[in-house]
Order: sequence, then C-alpha cells, then structure tokens
Amino acid sequence: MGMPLVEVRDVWKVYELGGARVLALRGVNLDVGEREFLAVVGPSGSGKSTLLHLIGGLDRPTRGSIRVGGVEVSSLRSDEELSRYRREYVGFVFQFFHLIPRLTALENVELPLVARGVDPRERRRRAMEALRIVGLEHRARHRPAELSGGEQQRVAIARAVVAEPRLLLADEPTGNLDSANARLIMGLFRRLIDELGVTVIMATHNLELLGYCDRAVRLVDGAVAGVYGRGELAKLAGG
Amino acid sequence: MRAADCAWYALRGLSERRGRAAGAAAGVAIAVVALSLALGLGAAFQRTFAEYLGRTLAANAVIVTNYAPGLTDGDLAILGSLPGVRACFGVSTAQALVATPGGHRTVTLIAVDAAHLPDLLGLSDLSGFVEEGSPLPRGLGAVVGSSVWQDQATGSKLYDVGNALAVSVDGRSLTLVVVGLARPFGFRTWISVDDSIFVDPEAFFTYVRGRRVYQAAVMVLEDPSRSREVVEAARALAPPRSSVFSPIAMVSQLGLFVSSLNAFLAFISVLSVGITALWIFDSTAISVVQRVREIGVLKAVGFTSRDVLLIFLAEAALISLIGGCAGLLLSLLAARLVHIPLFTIRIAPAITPQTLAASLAAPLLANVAAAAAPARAAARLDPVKALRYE
Ligand SMILES: Nc1ncnc2c1ncn2[C@@H]1O[C@H](COP(=O)(O)OP(=O)(O)O)[C@@H](O)[C@H]1O
Ligand SMILES: [Mg+2]
Repeated sequence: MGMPLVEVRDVWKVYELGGARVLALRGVNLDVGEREFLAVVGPSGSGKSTLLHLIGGLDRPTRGSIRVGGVEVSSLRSDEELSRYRREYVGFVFQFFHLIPRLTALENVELPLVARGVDPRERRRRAMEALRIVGLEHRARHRPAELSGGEQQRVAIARAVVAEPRLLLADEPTGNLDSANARLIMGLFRRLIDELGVTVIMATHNLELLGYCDRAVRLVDGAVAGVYGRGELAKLAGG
Repeated sequence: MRAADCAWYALRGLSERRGRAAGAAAGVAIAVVALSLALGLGAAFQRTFAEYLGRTLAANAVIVTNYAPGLTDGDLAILGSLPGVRACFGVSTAQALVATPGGHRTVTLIAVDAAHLPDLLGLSDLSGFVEEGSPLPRGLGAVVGSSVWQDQATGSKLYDVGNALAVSVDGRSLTLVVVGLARPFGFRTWISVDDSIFVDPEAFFTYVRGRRVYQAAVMVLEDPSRSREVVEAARALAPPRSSVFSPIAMVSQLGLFVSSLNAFLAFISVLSVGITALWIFDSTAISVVQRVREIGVLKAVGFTSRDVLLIFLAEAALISLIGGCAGLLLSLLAARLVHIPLFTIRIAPAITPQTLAASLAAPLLANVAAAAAPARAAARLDPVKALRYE
C-alpha cells in the first residue's frame, strides 16, 4: 500500500445527551489505501456509522485528525468548506437508499451535479452514463416507487459515483436487500473500484459479504478491536 | 447551484404539497386582485376627481333645477343676489324628438344666453365648442350635439352646416337650421352635450315655450368653499318643487364612498396577504418536517445550507408568482367589468404597471418573509441527524 487515501488518527466522538456522555468513538486509528475495499464490521451501536459520517465530512470529530487525499477534514469548519469537500471527494450510499420519491431515477442521479452547477445537458449525459454502469439506463424515467429495492440501491450508487468521487462511503448498503441483491451490489462495488478507481469503505454487519472485501476493521464500543487481511476474512466470515 | 436549477427543484418540491400550494396561491390571487383594484380605483377616482374639479363650473357652482313650472327671471334675481354668488343664469330645456334613419330619438333642446354658454360647457371660451360652423345659436340656427349630427354606428354625417333640422316638441313641429356641429364631449359635464341641441333663447321662448321660464339656474360662486352655505340659502329661497345641488359636494360625497370602498378592498387584501403568509409559514414548516431526510440527502450530495435555504424560499416565491399571475389576469378582467357610475362619469379601476407591480410585490415579500424561518431551520439541519431521522 502506497500513500493511504484516508488517515484516521486517534479520533474520538463524544455525544452529549442531556448530561449523559456517549462515547461513540474512542481513539480510532485507521489507514485506507487507494482503490481499497474496506469493510467496517461490529455490533450495532459500535460506532460504524459515526466513523463513516466523520470521514465523509457530515460531522466533526470531538478530538483527533482525519485526512482524506491531503485534505485535513477534521479542521474544516464552515458549512461552505464541508460542502465543497463532500462535493469533491465523497459519495454516500445508505441502507434506506434515500432516493427522492418525486424525482425520476435520472433526476436523482443528477442531484450531485446540480449541486455542482453542471449545465443540464452535460449532467444528463453523465447521469445516463452512471445509470449505464449500474445497468439501469432503461429505468431512467422511472420513479423510485416503481423500482425494486435492489434497483433503488443501484440508482443510489449511480448517484454516489456520478460526480466521480475518490471515496465511496456505504453504510449498511445491503441491510435492506436479499442476499442475491446483496451479492450484486458487492460485485458492483468491485467493478467501480476496478473501472473508476474509487476507494470503498462499507459499514456492515453481514459477515457473509466479507469475501468481496480486501480488508475488514472490527469496532467494538467505539474502538478498533481487530483488523483482518485477505487471508483472515474467510475465517471471520465463517464465524 | 444555478438559479434555474433552484427554481426547477422548488417547483418539483411544490408538487409534493400540491393542495397546500394551490390554496396558498389562491390566497395570493385574492390579495393581488383586491390590492390592484383598490390601488387602481383610488388612482382612477383621484384623476377623475381632479379633472372634474378642474372644470370651473363643477367646482364653482350650485345648481337649482325646477322642471315644472320652472324658474322665473324673478327667481333668478333672488338667487343671484344671495351672498357669495357672483352670477346667476338660467338654462331652459325641453325634450324634443328628431327624425333619424331608424325612426325617432329624444334629444334635449337647451337655451342659454350666449354670454353664459362657456360657463355651462365648462370651457374658457367657445373656440373649442364646435368642429364646424358657428358656436353661437342665433334665430332658428342651432348648434347640434355630436350624437345627433353623427351616426353613432358608422360615424357618417347625418346633418351638415346649413341643413334643415326638423324637431317635434310637445307634438308641434319646428324646423331649425344647423349652424354648428358640436364636437363630441363624452361625459365631461353635468349636462349631456352630445345628446343636445343648443338654440337661441329668444327663438326658444317664441317657438317652444310661450313664457320665459328656466328649468335650471346656475349660480356661479365667488369661492367654492362657500358652496354649503349657498346651497342652504338657495333651498330656503327657491320656489317649491325645486332641487338644489352642488356638484362639488356630490363629488366629495362620492369620493367618501370610493375611499370607504377602497379601505374595504385594502382591508381584504391585507387580510388575505396576512392569511396567505401564515399559510405559507405553516405549509413550509410542515414541508420541512416531512422532508428532513431529503434535506440530509441534499447536504450529503454536496448542497450547501444556503442552497437548501434558497430552495425553500424559492418554493414560497413560486407560490406567490403563480398566485400573482392568476390574480393579475383576474385583475385585468375585473378592470374591464367593474366600474362605479358617478353622475355621468364611470370610474373604472385603472390597472397600471405600477399598481400591478405594487400588488404583486406585497404578497411576494410577505410570503418569502413568512417562509424564511422554516427555511432557515431546514438550512441549519444537521445532516447526520437528518439522515438518521425516522
Ligand atoms: N446524535 C447522537 N446523539 C447521541 N448518541 C448518538 C448519536 N448518534 C449516535 N449515537 C450513539 O453513538 C453510538 C454509535 O452509534 P452508531 O455510529 O450509529 O453505531 P453503528 O452504526 O455501529 O450501529 C451509539 O451508542 C449511538 O447510540
Ligand atoms: Mg449504523
């Protein structure tokens, strides 16, 4: 592994909940390389989503540093800077797809380009191309309600990659899908890594999918409890 | 985000709350109609009022009418001697029939002393009275109103200077000679010039009425502010069955009516602007709550807080524009249909670009201001909380 794309250094996240302090992350250290497919596993409440949100610039760590491609994400303060960072570096995929119901598949995929002010013809072309990559160009005019769960998630993935981010952050992307669709999505992530050169960080508690990944990090109570390379993933998947 | 995309996204957002958006747009339309009618009517009245006052007679006269038995020279002398009255002259009138291509029509014969004719017409001199011929009736020579000498449908001349004009008064016929063709006056004075034939008083008292009586006396005042006082004195001294009125008093009374109508319209428009703004506030607030996760997604894919703010403000502005355009069309329609008849003048709301701009801008500003608080709440949403929101 050369220069890592993502460097997480001693990151803490503390939530204050009416006097009670919740330690969502407790001194996490992590490097993720270019074109790597990293799984973040661990029980519910272990801090997987929190870690992804911090790396994606949706939230800021209480302490510690996060660098992505040379950008010190943890020092970005203004809404403007964080938005620009998200536009330039990150695509998100969520468990519940989060497509906008009144927009067509194509319009949903266009949204990140709308945020970037790309002109309408160019963004339609690029959105169609992204839909083609996920194999859904024939569904461009359909609304989310007219698509299956697996199709909706593929549209969401097209939306995440349409602006050519370097980092794809997927939070339980298969949590709402059957295992056939889950495997389809995993194959798709692999192809995006090979064809577009993205880096994928995926939070999941579905250990069966680890065979598609390069490496896994296990969080327990907000701290790294283990890192597993290619050889050890099968063992982890087994139990 | 480009402005056009903001508008596009806002429009799609409105489709999510179609019912509430349509209701709010209807409120805007009502506000715009009421506001533009109030502004238009006020402006039109003020203009007409000023024009009316500009005419010396209306502003400066008290008129006594007595159709039967009529006022005598003695009555005129009494009315003319009242304090505050500069001059008093009589106007004699009679209904007459004139032959027309389609049968007969009624006209009014008017006889007034040449010296007082300009006062009666509200002109400074008689040069503007006629289009052709002489402005002064003499002997059996008459000056003819435009709707008598001109065919109203085709505009072609029915009578020319020098033509004979047969009229019938109380069953007796009389042949006059046309000496002048009056130009069209429209509704510019308290008498209808266009439907009248002006005749020489001497001829009128010889051939039409046997006696020197007048159907109206015009009292020209020294000072318009004394009109109330003169009206009261004239009521006391005029013969029985007379009526006394002061055009300026009538105008100001109608002015009062128009301004209360205006106040009512303004009240309705303020009310509907207010209700609509509250509605927009409510509808936007509901929309923000319903779309929390959408807002989280927008931020995650790179929209700034400012973009989110602008999207929700644009939704409010679009509702205003849609309602405003509907209201604008209704206002233009209403301006054609609505008018207030004031003596012989019709006051119709004048929908000018200024009144339209003012009536469009008021609800627009109110609605954008009303949407500002919920829109700001949307913009400030923490994307992580928004995405976790169930
Ligand atoms: N906004 C918040 N306020 C308070 N506690 C939170 C908040 N978000 C997450 N947490 C807590 O942080 C911990 C980690 O949550 P999360 O990152 O969602 O875990 P995972 O994704 O692994 O299930 C949990 O204990 C959760 O209850
Ligand atoms: Mg989670």
